[in-house]
Amino acid sequence: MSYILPNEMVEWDLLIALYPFLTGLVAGAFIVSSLYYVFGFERFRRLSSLALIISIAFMIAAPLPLVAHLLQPSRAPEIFFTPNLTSPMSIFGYLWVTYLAVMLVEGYFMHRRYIANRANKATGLLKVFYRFMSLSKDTSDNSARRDLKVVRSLALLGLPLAAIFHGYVGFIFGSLKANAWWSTPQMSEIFLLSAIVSGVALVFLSYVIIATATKTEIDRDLLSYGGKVLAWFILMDSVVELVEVLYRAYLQAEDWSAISQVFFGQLFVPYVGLQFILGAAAPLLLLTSRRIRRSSFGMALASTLALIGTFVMRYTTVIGGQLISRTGQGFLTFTAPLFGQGSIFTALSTFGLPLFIVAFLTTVVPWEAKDTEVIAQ
Amino acid sequence: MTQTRRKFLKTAIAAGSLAVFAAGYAPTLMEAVKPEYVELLSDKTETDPGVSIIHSVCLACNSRCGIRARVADGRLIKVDGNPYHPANTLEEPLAYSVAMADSFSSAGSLCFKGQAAIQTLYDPYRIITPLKRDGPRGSRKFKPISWQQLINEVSYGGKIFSDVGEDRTVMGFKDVRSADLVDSDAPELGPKSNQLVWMTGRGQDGRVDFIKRFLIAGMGSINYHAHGDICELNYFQSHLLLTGGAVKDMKPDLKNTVFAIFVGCDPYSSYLPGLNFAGSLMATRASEGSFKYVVVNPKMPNAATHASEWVYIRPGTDGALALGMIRWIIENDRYDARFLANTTLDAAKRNGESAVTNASYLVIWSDGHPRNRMFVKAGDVGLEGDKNKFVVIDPAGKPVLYDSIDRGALLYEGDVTNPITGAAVHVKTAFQLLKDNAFEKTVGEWAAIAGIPEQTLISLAKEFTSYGKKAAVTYYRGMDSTAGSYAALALDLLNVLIGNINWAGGMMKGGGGYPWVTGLYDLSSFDGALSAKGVKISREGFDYARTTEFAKKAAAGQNPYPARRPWFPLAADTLWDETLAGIDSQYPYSCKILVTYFADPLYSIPGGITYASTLKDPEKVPLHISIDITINESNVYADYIVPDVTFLEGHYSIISPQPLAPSKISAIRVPVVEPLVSKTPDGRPMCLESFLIDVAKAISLPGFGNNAIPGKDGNRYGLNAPEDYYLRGLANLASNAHVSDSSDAEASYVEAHHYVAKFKSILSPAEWRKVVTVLARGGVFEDPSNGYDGPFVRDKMTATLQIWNERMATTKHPITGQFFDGTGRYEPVKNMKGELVDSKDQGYPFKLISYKLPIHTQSRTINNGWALELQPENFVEIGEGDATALSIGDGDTVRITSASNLAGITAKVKVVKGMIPGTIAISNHYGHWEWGSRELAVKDAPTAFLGGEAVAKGDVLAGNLARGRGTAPNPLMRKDDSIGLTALHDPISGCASFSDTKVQVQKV
Repeated sequence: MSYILPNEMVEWDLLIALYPFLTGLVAGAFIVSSLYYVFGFERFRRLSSLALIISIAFMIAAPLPLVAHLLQPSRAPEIFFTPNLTSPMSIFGYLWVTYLAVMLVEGYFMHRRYIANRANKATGLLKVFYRFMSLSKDTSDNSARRDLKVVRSLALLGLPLAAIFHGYVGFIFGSLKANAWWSTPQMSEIFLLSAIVSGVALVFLSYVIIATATKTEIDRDLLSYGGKVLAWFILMDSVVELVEVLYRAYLQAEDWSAISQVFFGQLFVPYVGLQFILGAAAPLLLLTSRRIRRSSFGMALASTLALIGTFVMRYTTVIGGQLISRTGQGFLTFTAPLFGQGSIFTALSTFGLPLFIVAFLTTVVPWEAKDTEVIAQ
Repeated sequence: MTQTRRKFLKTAIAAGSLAVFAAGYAPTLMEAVKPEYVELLSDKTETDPGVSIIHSVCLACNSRCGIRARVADGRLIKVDGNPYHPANTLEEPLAYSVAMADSFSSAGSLCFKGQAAIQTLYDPYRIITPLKRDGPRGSRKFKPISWQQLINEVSYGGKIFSDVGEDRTVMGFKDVRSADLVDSDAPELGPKSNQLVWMTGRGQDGRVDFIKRFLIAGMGSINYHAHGDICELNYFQSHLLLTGGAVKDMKPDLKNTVFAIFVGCDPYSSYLPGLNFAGSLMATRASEGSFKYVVVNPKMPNAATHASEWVYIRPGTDGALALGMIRWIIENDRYDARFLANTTLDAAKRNGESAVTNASYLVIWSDGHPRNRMFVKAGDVGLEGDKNKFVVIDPAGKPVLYDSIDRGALLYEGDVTNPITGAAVHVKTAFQLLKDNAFEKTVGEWAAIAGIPEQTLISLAKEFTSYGKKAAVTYYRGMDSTAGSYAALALDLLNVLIGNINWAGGMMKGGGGYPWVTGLYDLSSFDGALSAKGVKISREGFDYARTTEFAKKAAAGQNPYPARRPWFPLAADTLWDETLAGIDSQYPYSCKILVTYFADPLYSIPGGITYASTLKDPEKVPLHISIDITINESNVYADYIVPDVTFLEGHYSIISPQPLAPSKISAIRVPVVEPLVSKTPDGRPMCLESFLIDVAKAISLPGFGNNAIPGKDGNRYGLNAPEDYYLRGLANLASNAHVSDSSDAEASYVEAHHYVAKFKSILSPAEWRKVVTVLARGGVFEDPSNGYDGPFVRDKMTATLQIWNERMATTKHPITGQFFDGTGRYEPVKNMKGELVDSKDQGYPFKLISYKLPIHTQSRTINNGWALELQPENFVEIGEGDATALSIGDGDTVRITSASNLAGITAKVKVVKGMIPGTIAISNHYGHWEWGSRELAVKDAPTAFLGGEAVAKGDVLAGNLARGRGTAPNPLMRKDDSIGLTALHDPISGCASFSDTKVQVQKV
C-alpha cells in the first residue's frame, strides 16, 4: 500500500468515461446510416433511418455528462464565445453544433416527403407539427430525388465529421503526455474503431428490440450481414488495442511496470475479463456462427456484449489512466458513488434523454426505411 | 399487442426515460436555471478598482525575497513577487525609474511558501490578546489579561503569580536592570542586567535593532541570542575564519558561474538566496547549457533534477571530501599558484587579482616555542625593519619581509635561523600546513571515509579545476556536524585554491544594502544608552582562559581544563542550546527573566524537548515572557504570552538578501494590511514594539518615549509607536540612497493604499515624498549591472584570506585543553570530551539526517493549510536496499530509537531511491505537539484567538489534529552525555549537530 497525497485523485470520473462512450455511439450509428447512402450497402437501407435517429438522440445527450461534471451549466454556452483554436476541448463546441446540424438537416431531408405527406393527412396536434415542419409540400418523385441528393451529400460530409468528432476525444487523451496510459498516437484509432463497434451494436440491438416490440418482421439476412460487420470491427478494434499493449509490454519502457500493475492487477477483471474476454472475444465467438447471427436473441446478445466491452474500454481508459500516481507514489483507487456528483445513477440517467428522443422521433417519422413515403427507396 | 397498448407502452417508456433523466440531472438543471455566482476576492487583479498593491518583503522563510501583496476590502487576497526586487525575477528586474503604476503589468515570481503565507496571517490559532499562565508551569492553562496588567506585572514584578497560588516574589524588568556585578568574584561576567536573557527565533534587520535598543542599550544585558547554532552557524563560522572576521556571508555569483558544487544544501528547496531566485536561475541556466553543477548530499536533493551528478556522501564527512579534493588538486598542480603566492593585496593587484591570501606566510611549528602555531614575525627571525611584519620565503629560499616581494614560496618547511640570536626555529608555510592535513590520508582513503568512489572524487576535483575562476563550491546547513567548522573551511579553501574570490562567476560577498540606522535620524544611539558588558550565559565570544574560574584553578595548581561547561571564544553567531544549558545549570550565572521571541526552541533544538523541565522550573526561569503569534511547544511553558503581528501586518524591516547579486539591495517590509491583533488602550497594535516601548516607559528606560531619537537637525523626536522608529529608518534609507522625490500620482496612490501612510506626519513633507518612492517599489534597488567592475564584482573581499587562521590555531578546546587546528581538516564525530561517539553508538546502525521541504519553513508553517494539502504528514525516508534488509515497505510504521531517546518515536516509512545506504532522513516541520494541534485550556478562549468561535468555545481552544501529524526528528537527536544537557556540538563554533545521530529502526 503506497501513500498517495490527498490532492491526487481521479478527477475525471464516471461521467467523463461515459462521454466518449456516447460520442462513440453517435459516430458509430452515423457510420451505419452512411453505409447505405454513401457506400451503397443496400442491406443497410432499412436501418438508415433508425441509425440516424439513434445518432441524433445520443448526439443531443453527448455533452450532458460534461456539463454535469463541470458543475457550471450556466457557463456552458461560453464555449461558443471564447474560442481557443489550439485547444481540442474548446473546439468541441463548434464541432458539436456543426455535426448536429448536419445530422438534423440530413434527417429532415430523409423524411421530408413523409412529413409533407403527413401534413396533408394527419390530424390534431401532429398535423400542426407536420405543417410546421413541412417547408415544402412537394411530394413528387422529382422532389424526392432532389432530397436524396441532399441526403447523400450530407451523409458524405457527416463521415469525416463523425471521425473528427469522435477522433478528437481520442486525440485529447492521446496527447496528454503526463499520463502514461493515455499518451499514445494510437488513441484516436482505438477510439474510432471501438466507436464503430458500439454504433453498429447499438443499431442492431435497437433494431431487434424495436422490431420485436412492434412485431415487425426481422430481416434475417440483414441481421447476419450486420453480425459480420460487427465481428470485423470487433476484430480490428481488438487487434489495434492488443498490438498497442503488446508493443508497450515488449518495449518495457519505464512506465510499463506501473501500467501493467494497474491493468493486470487492480483492473484485471474489467480490463482483461470484461473488455477483452466478455466484450470482444465472446461476441466474436458468437458471431462466427451464422445461426446465431441470424437469430434475434443471438444478435442482441452479441451486440449487448460488444456494447459492454466498449463501455468498459472507455472506463478502463479514462479511469485506469488516472490510477497511476503522477508523482510516482503508487496507485489510486476509484469507486463511483451510487448517487450524487459523478454517480452511477447520474450516468445511467443520461440514457433517459436519448431514449426519450428516440421514442419521440420514431413517433413522428418512420424508424424503418421501408415505408413508401420515405424518400430513400 | 394492440396498437393502443403499444402506443401506451411507448409513451410510458418515453415519459419514464425523461423522468429518469430529469432525476439524474436535476442538480445540473437547477444550477443551469438558477446559477449561483460567488464573486471571489481572489479573482481581483492589480488594476481592478478598490485593489491595493503593497510591495514588501517576505518572511515565509529567511530568503528575503520581495513580495507584491494584493489587498481588497482590507483583506489580503494574493501574494506574488515584487518585480522591482532582483530576487523575484531571473531577467533584469524592473528599472527603479519605472513608475509604480506602470509596474502592475510586470510580474515577479514567488515560491509556494510566500504565497501560502496568507494562511499564516489569517491563522485562526493566532493569539490576539495577552495571555497569562492560569496554573502551574506546563499545566497548559492560560487566561487573557489586559495590556495594562501585562505591562505592570512584567515591569515591576512582585508576587505576580499569587493568582495561581505561587507565593514567590518575581523580579520584573525594573529590578533586573542593574549595573551591579552578577558575581563580584568574577567581574568578567558583567552586570546583573545580564540576567535578562533574550532568545530570538527568526530575527531580521529592523526588529533586531529595535530589540537590541531595548535589551542592550536600554536594559544593559549582553544576552541577545539568535538561533545560529541550530541553523547555518558553520556557514558563517568558516567564512569568518577564512576572512579573519571580515565577511560572514559569501555565495557564488550564480548568474555567471559556469560550474558549481553544492554541498549539504538544496537550492531547489531551502537555499539562500531562495527558491525563486537560485533554484529557478540554476534550472534555467543548466537547461540552456550555460551552467553545470553537482550536488553532494546523503539524500538526493531536489536540485539533482538539473544537476550533472548527485554525489552521495556519508553524513558529516564533507571534510574528508574536501581534503581529498585538496590533496588531488595539490598533487596534480591544479591550484592557482599565481594567485596564492601573492604576498600583499597590492602585489595581488599588480598580478591581476583583487584578493590576497596568507598561503605563503611562515608559521612557527615548534612545540615548546612560546609563539608556536603563530605566524613568524620579522622579530622572530631577526629580519630588519618592522618587527611585526609577516615573513615569507623568497625565490632564493631566504626568509624576507612579506611585503618586500610580490610572491612568496607556497610550500616550505624547514628551520630558519635568527642571525642575531643564532636560534633556529622550525617553520612551515600556511599552505604547507593545509597540505599536511590533506596528505594525512590518500585520496582513496579520503573517498572511502566519505563513502564516495575514489574516481568520483577525482573527477569532481578535476572538473572543479577546469573552469578557471568561473567555478565555485558552496554549502549551507549540511555543515552542522561536530567538525563542521573544519569541513566548511576546507570547502571554502577549495575556492581559494582556484582563486575565484571576487571574480564575476566566482565567490562574492554581495552588494549589501544602504545604511538606514543613521542619517537624518540617529537610531543607533541615544542619551544614556548602555553597552553590552561581560559574558553571555551561553559563554560564546569569550575565552575560558580569561575567566576567574580558569585563573582560580590555575592558581590552585589544578589543571584548569575541563571548564564546567564549554566556552566558545570563536563562535561566529549566537547559541541557543548552550543558552538553555546555561540557564539550566545556572552557569556562569543564573537567569532572572527569559524572553523568547518568535521562537520555538523545544521543537527546533536537537533534543531540545529535554529543556521542558528547565522551562517548568521557576528556580531556573523565574519569569518567562514569550512574544509570538501562536502557542507553540516552548511558550506553552511561558508565564506571559504577548501577541505579535505577522510579517504581513508589521514586522518592519530594511533588509538585503543573502548574496544574490553584487549590486545594492535594500528591500523594506511594511504592513500590507492593518494588524489583526487587539489594540492597546491608545490604539496601537499589541505587538513586540508596543510591548517594549510600554515596558521601557513604565520603568523609565532611556531611548524610548518622548525625545528619544536625535535628529540631524538638532531636534529630538519621540519613540512611542513602532512607526516612530521605522518610518525614520525609511527616511534615513531614502536619504542615504539618494532616492528621488515621488511623483504626485505615486504619492496619492501610496497615501490611499498604504497602512503606513496613516503615520506620514511623523516625517517632514520632503522626507515623506522620498519615502513614498521607496514604499511604492518596496525598497531601494540598484541596477544589478552596476555591481561589476570589469572581470570582478564591485564590492570585494579585501581582507587577507586565512589559509592558516592564527587565532583559531592558538585557541584551546575548553574541555580537552587541546589546541584547535588552524586550517581545514577532517575529524570523526566527537563529543565535547573528544571521545568518538560512533563507537559508543554501535547498536544503532543508521545515521539520521533531517532536511527542509520546499513548502515549509522550520517549525512555523504548520498553519499553512495549502502546505498540509500538498503533504499532510512527513515520513522517515529509507533507501531501497536498507528497507529490503529490514523487510519494511511504504506505509509501514517503524520505531526509531537513539542513544539519547531509548523510548524512540514512531514514523511512517517511505522507501526512496535517492539515499546513501545506512542513512535515514526525516524532514522538519511536522510532528507538532502544540501549535494548535491539541486542545488547550484558555479562559474565554474565543476572545483570545483570531478564529474566535471557529476554534474556541468557552474555556477551551479546540485542537486541529492535522497540525500534529507526522514526525519531528529533533527529539531523537544525540545529546552530548559527556557534558550533559546539550546536543553534540562543534566545539569551535558551538553549532549543534544534526548529522551525527545514530539510530535503530524497527518495524512496529
